[in-house]
Amino acid sequence: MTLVIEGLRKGFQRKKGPYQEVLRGVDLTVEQGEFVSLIGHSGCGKSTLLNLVAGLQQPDAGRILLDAKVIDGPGPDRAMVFQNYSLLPRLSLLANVREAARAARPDRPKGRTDEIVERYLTAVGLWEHRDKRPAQISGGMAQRTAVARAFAVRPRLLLLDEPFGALDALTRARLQQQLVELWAHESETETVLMVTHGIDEAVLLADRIVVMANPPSPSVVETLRIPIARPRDRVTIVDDPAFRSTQERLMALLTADAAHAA
Amino acid sequence: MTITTGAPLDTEQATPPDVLREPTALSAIRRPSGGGVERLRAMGWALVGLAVLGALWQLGSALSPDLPSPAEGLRELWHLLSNPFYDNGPNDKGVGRHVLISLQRVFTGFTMAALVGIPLGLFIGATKRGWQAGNPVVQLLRPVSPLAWFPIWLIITKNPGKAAVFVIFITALWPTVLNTAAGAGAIPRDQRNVALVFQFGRMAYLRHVLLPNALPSVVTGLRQSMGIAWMVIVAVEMLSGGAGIGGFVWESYNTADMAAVTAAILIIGSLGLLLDVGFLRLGRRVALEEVQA
Repeated sequence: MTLVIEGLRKGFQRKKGPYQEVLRGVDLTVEQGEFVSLIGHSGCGKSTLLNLVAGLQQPDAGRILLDAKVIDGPGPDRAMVFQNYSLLPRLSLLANVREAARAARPDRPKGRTDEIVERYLTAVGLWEHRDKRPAQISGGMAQRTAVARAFAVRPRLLLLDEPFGALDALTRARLQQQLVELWAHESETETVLMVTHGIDEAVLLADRIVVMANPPSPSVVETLRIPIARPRDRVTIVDDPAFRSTQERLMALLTADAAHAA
Repeated sequence: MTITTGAPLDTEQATPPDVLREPTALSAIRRPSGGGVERLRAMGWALVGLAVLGALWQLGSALSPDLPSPAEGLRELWHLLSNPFYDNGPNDKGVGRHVLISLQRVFTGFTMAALVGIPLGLFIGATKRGWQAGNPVVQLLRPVSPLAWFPIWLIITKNPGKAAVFVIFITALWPTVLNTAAGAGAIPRDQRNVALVFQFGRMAYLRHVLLPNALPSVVTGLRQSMGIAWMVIVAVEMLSGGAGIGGFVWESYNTADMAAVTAAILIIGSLGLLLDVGFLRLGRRVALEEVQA
């Protein structure tokens, strides 16, 4: 699914503060099958951009097109993994995934949905824990459930909002691996848009990295292509010269923005 | 569908179920800190408090000779409770019969209020239009003493007993509506986003997001309603006269039987305490279900 963003503007009225334009004219095209990371300091509008693409908010100006159609709200062609897992606390893991899949795809026969739900819960290693409630499981398990929930919708555009930010390093590494495997082999999910503040995570996972910044810089400072072949291995990737140069470039851009902010 | 919320109630986190913390008469004794000795000590202090109450009563009866002493009140209580359900016609019934009539009125009015108030509260709390339309009406009528409604209901029903039931309905309605609306308006943002992104239908949203989040507040509202209803029933029955524990109190006053009045106060207080503890248990169960899964 091709995502085209044209001249996107969005601002907020801060409490006890001036009106702040968070997205100052964003143009971005994400090709079908691409994995794109949005990176930047907090407040740069990367999550806002994701919410606009999800249809949770409306832009002040500009358009978002999915396969040449303007989006005007949430749709089953998109699914999201939220930063704080956002599972419904009273439902079992199974019911969390199943209810979302059914709601997003009401036309799909129930048996088919149940099949898909079982497949993704198994893929993230949670099928035997399916009857537990969110309060009974770890953050890593909760986020795996949220990943299974998003995949079970079979979206064509997967939106990830700092999905691994709250997890410890080992869990994060395992989940990144699972995500890439699901994306590459398990699913027809074709396009991924991921918000992150982890440089290494972005370089490891993305085909392209969109660097965003606070005023006075433009919203999108630079777009970097990662010329590293897949499958990528988190251990050997650091030996790739492209890894180091991309990392350094990102660090320079983000440090420059931090200097602006200060 | 659109999922909106009454803005003034919109907070990031749902209100925690305060039923776990709100004190009752028993909570000091219950609190499990310190084990058996502490528990005995707590009960000892409860007895001290009751003894002070008895002493004040004794003092009051000494200063005002028309009032019965605690001993006379308790003797009358014993007398009333020894044959509570006798029935010698409309003007001479046992206190138990009066209590049953009052309880029946309270529960009828309370149930009606729950049936109307919970859906209304969900509507007001969960939708912007519902909030804009409903909130001014509720805020206007809520400060009105439920007793002011008595003439209205009396002229409609032509029956003091039925009018009392409808007064209880009004009494229990506002706390039920307001608490339900507060719970329904405080759906955590992330749960609302999940419902939006995955395009939950009306029923799925109601079942999986709205009701579970509103439930603890609903129970709090019902508990408040019951507490106030139990207070108001006495007043409205004193107004309507005849049957019911409030009628009994007024009747006793008119026949200068002040010992019966004090005994009735003790009965009313004990029953109110029992009702409150019942709802507290219910609320605790609702809240714990979530925690324990």
